[in-house]
Amino acid sequence: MNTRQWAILANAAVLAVLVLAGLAAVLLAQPPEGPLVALYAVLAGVSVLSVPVVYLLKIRPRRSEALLRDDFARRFALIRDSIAASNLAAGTKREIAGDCLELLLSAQQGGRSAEDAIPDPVAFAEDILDAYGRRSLRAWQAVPRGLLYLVFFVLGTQTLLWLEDTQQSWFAVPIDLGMFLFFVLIAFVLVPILRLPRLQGRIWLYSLPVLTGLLFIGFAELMRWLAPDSGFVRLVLDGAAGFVPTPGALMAWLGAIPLLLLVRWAFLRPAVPGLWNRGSRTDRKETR
Amino acid sequence: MVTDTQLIKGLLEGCILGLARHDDVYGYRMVEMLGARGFDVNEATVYPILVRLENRGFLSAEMRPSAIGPARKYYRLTSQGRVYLEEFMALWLRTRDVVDRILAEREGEVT
Repeated sequence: MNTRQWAILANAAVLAVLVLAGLAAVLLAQPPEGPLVALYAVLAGVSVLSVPVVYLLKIRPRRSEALLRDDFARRFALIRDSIAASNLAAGTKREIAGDCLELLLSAQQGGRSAEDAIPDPVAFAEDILDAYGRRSLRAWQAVPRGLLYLVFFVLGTQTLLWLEDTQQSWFAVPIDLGMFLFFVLIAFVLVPILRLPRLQGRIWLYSLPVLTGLLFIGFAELMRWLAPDSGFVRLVLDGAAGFVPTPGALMAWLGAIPLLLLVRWAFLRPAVPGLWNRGSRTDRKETR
Repeated sequence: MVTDTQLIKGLLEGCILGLARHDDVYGYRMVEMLGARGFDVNEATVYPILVRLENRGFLSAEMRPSAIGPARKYYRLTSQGRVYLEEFMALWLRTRDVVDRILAEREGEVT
């Protein structure tokens, strides 16, 4: 394994350990009952499984990838990650990755050096992405995507918190404002940074999710220490609000999901005529 | 050898369509064909152009098995691409003549 692969695996392990440590702390403070036992067991299982899953999905080379020499394999990994981080549809990403793998294998077999074939893998990936629409237009896709994340975070968190006390109404469960602020940070700052093609392959990028969490907690505690009497700080750190207080509000949150998906697709649609109508663009029949 | 510049990238679109009109071509083969004709281009230059041409409907693609491993994508000129190629050829001939005339002018001949 190279340094990049070790970094990916190490950060997945650190994240899993942090989640397990958090669960252990909660269990020691208050042993769970009812559905919470199953929930904590699922969380612990997912955390433990996340490391081998990351290995299988991000590190272990597929059969064809294993045919690439080291220099070609490193370039392919960067191209694949840059494309995977983009806003393109999953099928299009798979198609591009397959094309690039075949292209690199052909170049390798043709006796070309990896440096000659693809001098800058990330710039190459950006050139490919440019064929799917202007960079500015693709960047705007981060807005509906961030809002989608926010919807799922809020509804998911509200459900998790409700599981702690199922006697209360689901709609009466408040969410901490600090937690909501953290969700906003993830959806609109962290994820867009993680998806920047130009940053793919940087070792520190893999530590960013864990670092963001630690920095947010550190910053919150620093604010509490520096301005303990500030109304704003107390509101943000200790305040809570019901984000989905009524069935009508829930309908609005749920209704936002297809709307945001539609907006997200609308950003991509003008770039590739027929992309959404035909699915994969290969194997189109054309009479010569 | 011709160098890889923005100008060449623009011309490459037409040249790639021109090469694809004779036979179905895969990405690496296209790089070889362009290299054999004097274009100093690599895979990083050619593949994004192929994607762009495919997205614009000028090339269609078909996956075929390959001896080296994963399936290989073969590109073929579409009827839409054929029209674009004809327009490109007409524009190129006009432009080439104009550029040739300008570059052939001697001092004192400029009107």
